[in-house]
Amino acid sequence: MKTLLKISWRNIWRNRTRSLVIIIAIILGLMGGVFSAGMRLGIETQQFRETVETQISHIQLHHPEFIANPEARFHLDNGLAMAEEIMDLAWTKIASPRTVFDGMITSANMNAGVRIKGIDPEIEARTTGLNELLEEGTYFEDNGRLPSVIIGQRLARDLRAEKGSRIVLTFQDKKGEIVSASFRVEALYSVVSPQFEERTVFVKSTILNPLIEDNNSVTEIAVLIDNLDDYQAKAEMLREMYPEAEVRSWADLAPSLHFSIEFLHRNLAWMVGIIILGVSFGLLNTILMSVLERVNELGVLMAIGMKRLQVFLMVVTETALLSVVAGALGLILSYLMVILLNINGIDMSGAGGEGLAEFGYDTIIFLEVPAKLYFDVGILLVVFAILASIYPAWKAVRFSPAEAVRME
Amino acid sequence: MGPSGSGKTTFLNLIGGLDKPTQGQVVIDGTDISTLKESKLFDFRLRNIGFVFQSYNLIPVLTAKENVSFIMLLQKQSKEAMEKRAKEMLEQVGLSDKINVRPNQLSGGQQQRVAVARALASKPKFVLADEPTANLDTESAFNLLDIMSRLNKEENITLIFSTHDQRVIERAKRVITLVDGEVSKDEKFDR
Repeated sequence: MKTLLKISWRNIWRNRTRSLVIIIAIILGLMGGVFSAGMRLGIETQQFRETVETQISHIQLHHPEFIANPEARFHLDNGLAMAEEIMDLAWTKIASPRTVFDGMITSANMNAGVRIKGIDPEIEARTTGLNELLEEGTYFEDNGRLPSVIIGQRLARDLRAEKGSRIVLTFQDKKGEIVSASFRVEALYSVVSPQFEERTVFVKSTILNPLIEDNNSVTEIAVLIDNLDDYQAKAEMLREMYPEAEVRSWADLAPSLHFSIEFLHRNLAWMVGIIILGVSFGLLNTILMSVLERVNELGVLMAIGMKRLQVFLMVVTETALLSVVAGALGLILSYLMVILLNINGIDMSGAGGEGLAEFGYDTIIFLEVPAKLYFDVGILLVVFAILASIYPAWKAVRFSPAEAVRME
Repeated sequence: MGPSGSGKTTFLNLIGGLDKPTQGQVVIDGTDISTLKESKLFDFRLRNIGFVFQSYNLIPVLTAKENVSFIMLLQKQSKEAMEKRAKEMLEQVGLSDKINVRPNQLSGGQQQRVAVARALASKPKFVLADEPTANLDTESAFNLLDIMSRLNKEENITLIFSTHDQRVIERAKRVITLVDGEVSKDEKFDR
């Protein structure tokens, strides 16, 4: 085996130029594949974080009527107790009880329809990281005479309001009566999604609930779980625990994102597979040329006693070694490429990236390449290379030793 | 011996088990090799027959010592035995200073001497040499033939040549002349 490896290794370097050309082709192919995959995964990961982690969470629970009519009267019975129960489940990271409904925001200049979210600031910070999304102002320190509201930067621009401005929120209480209350803009937040930023405002639920005359009102529970791979099973468990509630996972809440991620993962395998297939044909060509150039030599090996299987394995080993060398270099360089590009991210703002933001994509893209992708690509390359070596290896042993020895 | 096209190489291929006869048998030491299955034939060649080719046909990526050891390696001999025998054979052919040199750094005559060392190293029953001097200059050819004659005696291994080189024929103990695939003459000499 050691000698077989030695001969195969030395055979690779008999024609240095040819071997280097195919190694460089494999390296570039892998880097291209990793870049494309990393770019797509990076975009999807950013959108997932943006949509799921800062907006909708992994699972949400509502009153069934709330979906069509987001009003205070469609609250979850014993919502606070439910949230505490969910929080006590082993797999729950956090459960945030909210009072959510639609209403109207009015500044001195303009008004707009908004979704008002009554939250517990401490729990919300751990759920959506709202405190970290602030561009200006403080996070519910309530240092003014009026209660605080946090609104999006884009909404502030639309309302021609700013930090410290007084605004009025108008909504229905739980009996359907119209209620208005004044608030002071304590902070402005920013997210990638313009729709969310223009339409969502946050106030403390302890302020909002008395206004709708229901101190314990909970219309929404947002849940984060510890293992996202399990989200469907966990949503199902919550459905069994609370049959009276409408339990929706992030995939139900953002079906287009879910489809896009699923599609990407299937697409990715094809994309990487096709690149590796192309690379394998390059390898096949190289090894075939190398075999056809030394039919005579292979014939001699068989004449002096090397079995066909050993010659076959020698050719396969040559290809495998070539692919391992090229694959290892390709993956190391790909890894370095990802690190380098991720120092500042890839700025797409000059290439129509502004349009991306309309769909919830960030204009600075960071490549996302999980370790498993490197591993899978490496394994796939070696497997494809070995498959590609079968034809040249078969070519190598199909001549009889006498025929091969006579060939020059 | 015989002119081109007389069947010398075919004859060597038949007794070397590289070709199968369309009729008749090839019996070596009681074994009819024409009936052996391919894997048995590979084994038979490996254990019993040495080959020296006209174009040397050394493995270009291996050193002289590795080339000489190669058949012993296929025979699964121990590393120490291989090492010792390879060095000994290279010494016998006058190349002890070229042990770690690859074929492309050797002259044609030196390569053919390595090929002879390779063929004899595994102690086969006989060695088939297909026009081994055809590509060599006079001095190298004489040198090679001297070595082969000496090894024939010292190692007690039969050498069967296909040739029309008079220098080889003059040293042979038995000369079979082929014409158009037929044995036209079979002469024995006391040399």
